[in-house]
Amino acid sequence: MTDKLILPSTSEEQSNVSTTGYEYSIGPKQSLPNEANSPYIPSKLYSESLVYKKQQVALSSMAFLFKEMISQIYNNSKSSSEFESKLLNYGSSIGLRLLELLNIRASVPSNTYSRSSTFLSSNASNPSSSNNVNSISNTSNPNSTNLNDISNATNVGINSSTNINDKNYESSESLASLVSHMRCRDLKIIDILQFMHGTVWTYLFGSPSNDLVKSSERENEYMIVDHEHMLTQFISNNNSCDYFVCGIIQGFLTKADFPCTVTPHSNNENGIDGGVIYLIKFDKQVLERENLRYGS
Amino acid sequence: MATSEKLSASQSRSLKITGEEIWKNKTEKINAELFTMTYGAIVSQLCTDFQRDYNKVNDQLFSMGYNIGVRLIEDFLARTALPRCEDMIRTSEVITKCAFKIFLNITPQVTNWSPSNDAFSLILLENPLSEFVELPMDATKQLWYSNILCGVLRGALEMVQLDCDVHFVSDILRNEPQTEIRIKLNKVLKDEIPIGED
Amino acid sequence: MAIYSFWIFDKHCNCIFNREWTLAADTNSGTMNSKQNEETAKLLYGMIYSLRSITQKLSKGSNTNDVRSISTGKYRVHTYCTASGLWLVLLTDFKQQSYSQVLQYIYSHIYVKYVSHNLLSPQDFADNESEMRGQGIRKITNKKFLQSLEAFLVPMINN
Repeated sequence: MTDKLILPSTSEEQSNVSTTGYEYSIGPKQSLPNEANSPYIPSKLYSESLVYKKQQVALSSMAFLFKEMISQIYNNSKSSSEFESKLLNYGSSIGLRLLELLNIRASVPSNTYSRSSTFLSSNASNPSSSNNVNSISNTSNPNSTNLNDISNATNVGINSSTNINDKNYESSESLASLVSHMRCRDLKIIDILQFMHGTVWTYLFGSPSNDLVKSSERENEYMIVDHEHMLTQFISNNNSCDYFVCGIIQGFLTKADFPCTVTPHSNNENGIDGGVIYLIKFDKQVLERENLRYGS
Repeated sequence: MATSEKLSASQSRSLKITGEEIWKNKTEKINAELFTMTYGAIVSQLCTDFQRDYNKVNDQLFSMGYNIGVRLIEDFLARTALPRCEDMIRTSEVITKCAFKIFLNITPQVTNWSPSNDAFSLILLENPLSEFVELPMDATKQLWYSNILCGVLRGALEMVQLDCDVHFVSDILRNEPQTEIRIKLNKVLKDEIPIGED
Repeated sequence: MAIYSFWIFDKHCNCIFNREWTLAADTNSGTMNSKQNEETAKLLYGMIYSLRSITQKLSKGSNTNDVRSISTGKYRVHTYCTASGLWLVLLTDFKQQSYSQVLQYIYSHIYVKYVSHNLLSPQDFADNESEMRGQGIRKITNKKFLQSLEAFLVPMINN
């Protein structure tokens, strides 16, 4: 029994690497050993700019792909909880990639450079998505405090973004060269949630989420209200498929060191489709840390 | 090059305008990077599920594409209200200038026509599915990363009675010079007729 | 204007949806996906099918010579055919010349949205060979489709 505890830490790792994926030790520029003579074409990937190109595809392409993904997962799941956790994993694998990318893109000063790379569309300040909606959801969630009016540094860049002309865009332009100051890492719950509500949501769905609300009953619970629920609007009456977006949120926040679980709830009031509420429950440690750091 | 000779310039231009007009004014859009990453999540999960048997992954992607294609064609026809194409030359133009434009906002080039005009190649200069992608080494020989596109084309064409073979010839992801999809018409299917009418 | 009935045929020559409004005064008197209408559906399909065959022969194979409407002494039949082989058929009175926009709307905003985009709805309503060539029995029963179609067409029933 105790023998098993003493394992050379490297041996298993190595066999793993050789069967799955890249040979990181060799590096991406190497060709396979047996085709060393074939002409080398470097992957464009590493020289490509991360400046946001604002490229779009049709929503219906995304909807078709999303549905096929759903049915693929559905067919391979034995229970609805298995389905939901699988879908959540798909989403979280996307969310955790967004943290660094959006952070650096959001660091580009929007007013200093004509071809600004902020990815927020110029109509991000759509009034219907912030002010009007707040009053509605305030009435529907009497137990909650509204957080939208808390001013925050993350939102400064949003509304002043300039429209870039796609044709003027140069692919060689390096994202890092546009950034003089990285924006500070979000350390407070409220800051990271504002970033999620504004920047991430605008990146994903074209406008900030409709509302960001703190539960007044439990202090580790927050809610993002999304009336549009763009991806699941073609899917009726079931929140299961919203676990994908939950995964994106959860992956993003967990990667940012705010471990949490996210679940979807429908926001139907009086039979009117009010969209989806994403309920974010932070782990205890997050609140403990927050109290230690900022508690009075 | 080949297409403008084969189809009158004005017909070709009008399809281009149709496609661009629909993309611009009648299409709800979403961030292409979300689309790219979602597809990436699907492919990488399939690679895990099939234990890196890339032929199986190719087949699965193709069949997912087929399922999409047979439905997507209705969406396409509803947007464009185009009638059936009289030949493959027009089909190729409709696919590139309208379908790819409307759904993915790209316009592949048509080339390599067979002598009998029943097979051609699409060259994808950009591919929203494979942005940010580098294949792992063990996949470069077998995996057709964007194989879902072949399935979509196959399914959609079958629904307008064109029985076609669609497959990848090359992909820049495999360090090949270009991304090429081959489409070959097997036969034009006959419309069903009700029992008693024949 | 007034509409009397609405039909959808798929590429297997099957009637996959029918809705009939019989009494102008009472919208509840109509039928939906009724078995009694099967014979009518077959006759209607046969009539349009024959006319289409003739017009296509007359125009020497070009598929642009489509049947758009057929008039009789009492009513008009409007047809809308898609390249995928779907037929939408609407029976109306004489007051309005063309319903092609109405049918186009039903196709693009109701059928595509609630049938094609709906994962749970079948894409092909014939399950096997024996349900093809006009022998099919399946109908569109999807609630959202029925609701939005009803909401769209009911205002046109009378007047």
